[in-house]
Amino acid sequence: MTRITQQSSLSAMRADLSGVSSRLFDIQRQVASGKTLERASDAPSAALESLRYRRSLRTFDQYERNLSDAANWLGAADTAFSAIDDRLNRVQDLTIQADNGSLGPAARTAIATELRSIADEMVGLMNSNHLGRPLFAGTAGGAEAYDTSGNYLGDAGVVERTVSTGSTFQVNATGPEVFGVSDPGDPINGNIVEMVRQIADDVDAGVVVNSALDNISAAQSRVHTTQATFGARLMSIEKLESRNDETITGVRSSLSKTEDVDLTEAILELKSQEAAYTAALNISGRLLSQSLLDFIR
Amino acid sequence: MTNISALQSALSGLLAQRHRLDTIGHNIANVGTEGYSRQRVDLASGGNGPIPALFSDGLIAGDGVDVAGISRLRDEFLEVRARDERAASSQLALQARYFERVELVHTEPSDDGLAASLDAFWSAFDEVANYPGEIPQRTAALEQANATAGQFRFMDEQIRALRATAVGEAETVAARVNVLAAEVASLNDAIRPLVLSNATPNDLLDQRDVALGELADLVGARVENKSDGTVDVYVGGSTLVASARTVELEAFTAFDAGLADVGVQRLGFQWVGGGEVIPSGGEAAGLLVMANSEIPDAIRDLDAIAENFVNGVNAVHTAAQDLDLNSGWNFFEPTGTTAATIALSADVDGQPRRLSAGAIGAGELDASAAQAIAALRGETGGAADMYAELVGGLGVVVASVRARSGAQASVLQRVDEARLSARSVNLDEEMIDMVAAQRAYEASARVITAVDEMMDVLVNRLGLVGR
Repeated sequence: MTRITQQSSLSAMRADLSGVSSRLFDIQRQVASGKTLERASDAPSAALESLRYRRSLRTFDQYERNLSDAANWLGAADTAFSAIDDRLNRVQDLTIQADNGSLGPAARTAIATELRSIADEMVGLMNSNHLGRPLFAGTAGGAEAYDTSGNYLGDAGVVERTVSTGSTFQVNATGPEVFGVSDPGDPINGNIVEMVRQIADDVDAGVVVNSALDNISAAQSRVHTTQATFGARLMSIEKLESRNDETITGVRSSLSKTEDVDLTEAILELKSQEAAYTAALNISGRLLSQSLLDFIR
Repeated sequence: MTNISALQSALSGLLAQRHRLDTIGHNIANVGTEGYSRQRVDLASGGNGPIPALFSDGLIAGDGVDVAGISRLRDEFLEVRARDERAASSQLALQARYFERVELVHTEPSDDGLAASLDAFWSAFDEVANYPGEIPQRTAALEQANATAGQFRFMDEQIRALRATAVGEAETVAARVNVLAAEVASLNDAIRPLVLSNATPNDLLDQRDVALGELADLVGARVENKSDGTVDVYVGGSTLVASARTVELEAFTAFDAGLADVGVQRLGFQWVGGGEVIPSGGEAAGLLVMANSEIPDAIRDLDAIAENFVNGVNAVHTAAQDLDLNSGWNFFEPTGTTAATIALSADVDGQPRRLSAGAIGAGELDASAAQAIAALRGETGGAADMYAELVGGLGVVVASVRARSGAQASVLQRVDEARLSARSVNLDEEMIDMVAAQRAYEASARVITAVDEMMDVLVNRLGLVGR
């Protein structure tokens, strides 16, 4: 038979009470912090999962920024394309007007002047920038893609955004791709600035210019094609953005499942531990006060 | 039998019962004393019975009661077992304590640990890739790199500080061992003459047991009982206390080739005057494990991540061109491939234009290199993966050490309960004994009264017939 003594029962009581109260403390802390995971050792595999989820969240947050930046680039380019298209339409109108035989020299000069000012506007549009960086200069470092006489200052570099792990997305088109390759020897087949300026010169000189209409429509179709490509890219970007958002939401909820406390369960557990603690205290208190001394004279 | 011998027997009963009561009082007074073993008066009936002789009639009642001794009631096997369990338990508890502190250095999972810092670093390069010509983005990337490198260095410092704590604690352990050893030696010295003269130095023995228990906690000391009542104490197989002599223990640090890579010295224990000691358990053994193998490993793990990180970024960065079309710049100092030495290189520190974001030969706003560096975030087996592995591995180790320590603590608790159950005082028992002693005392007193009355009859009333 085990002898029960004051010291052995006190020591057992101490150990049991401290066990119950440490469980109570643990669950209290979980309820207060709302986290089941405070340190990796609380649940190593869940901690690894949580680490991975947090990493994905931060990564996808960055992809989201990259995507919205890509959308801004594409949007800015689209605006420039529409404006250029407007100008090309006007050039087309003016070119058709200029061939009207009934025009006097004064009227022709007026048309030529307007064409020249359109060419200047075009240079401005072709230098469109996004946050200070020219959109159509490739990866060249200058502040502008074209100088005032329409010479391309950029390069053929590709501008990309990282949109998901291991995949990038091109957001630019270089000037020559959209506006034609410069050709000082044959300006009518050169880029659109050279072309418009050549038409203006021809109009001034009284030369028939309707042969340029083909060049104009070729230029228009180049702009349209690029614009369509950009529109398609913008749509994919939007799709990627919404997919990214969904992923972030999914990862957030997984993360929450991994490390957040299920409050109902936790509070229930807290209550039962509380009851266990009260019971332990109660019983210990009752046993401790018992003694033979109460019964002998 | 004579009336006088009955008086003698009753007197011996009175004295013996008073002895019992004294001992019961001593027991009750020590009901809460740490290390106290309850004591019992051993009684033996006195007198030798009939001695063969010419006129002996063989009808001798005996000479009452003798106090044969006062014994300590305890289970010596449980005492030894408890010391062994204490040594194992305190070693594991110490290791668990240190492992938890290593884990606290890696504050994961969180949004401000090294994992988050690495992610912020990759993101800063994504931003440079988005705006390669912008100085603010480049400066931000350099600042973030500084912060991430700083985080590596800070964690390394914390782990090293923990190791320094272990070395300091080893010195404290050695000092406490010396104090306890001196106490055991002086108790040995006091106990020996008492035992040799057949006395029972029970309380001194209890005090010595307490000191021996603490020695087991500290260095896993083993105890050998000698016939003269003294004990010899051994640590790691060599003598700490022999009778009244002790050898002083000290902690030392010395160069060790196996630890040179992390730049720390080996911690050890030795006797003052030479001879290394390897404690077999207790806090000292735990400190050696932590200081010489676990903490250096924690430093190495972090170093491996720093090395992968530095080399990975530099490999891309040196083969890329900066904003002024120059190339060959190191991003991190190439020699700083440990967590302690990782730092931004002098090439790029404070020179955001030198951050090389573009492929060599491409336009100056090319950002393919910055993208390549940012893409290291997803590299299989890269810094982020290695760190996740470290945190997960550490979590498993901490959890298992904690579990082992908890299991060992409950084993110790069981043994302690059994030990206490054998040795400690039960007040109810003492009460009953007290009542018994009291009654026996009263009865002995009554015997004296009875003998007294009989003598009265004999002395005062005899021979008064017809008066």
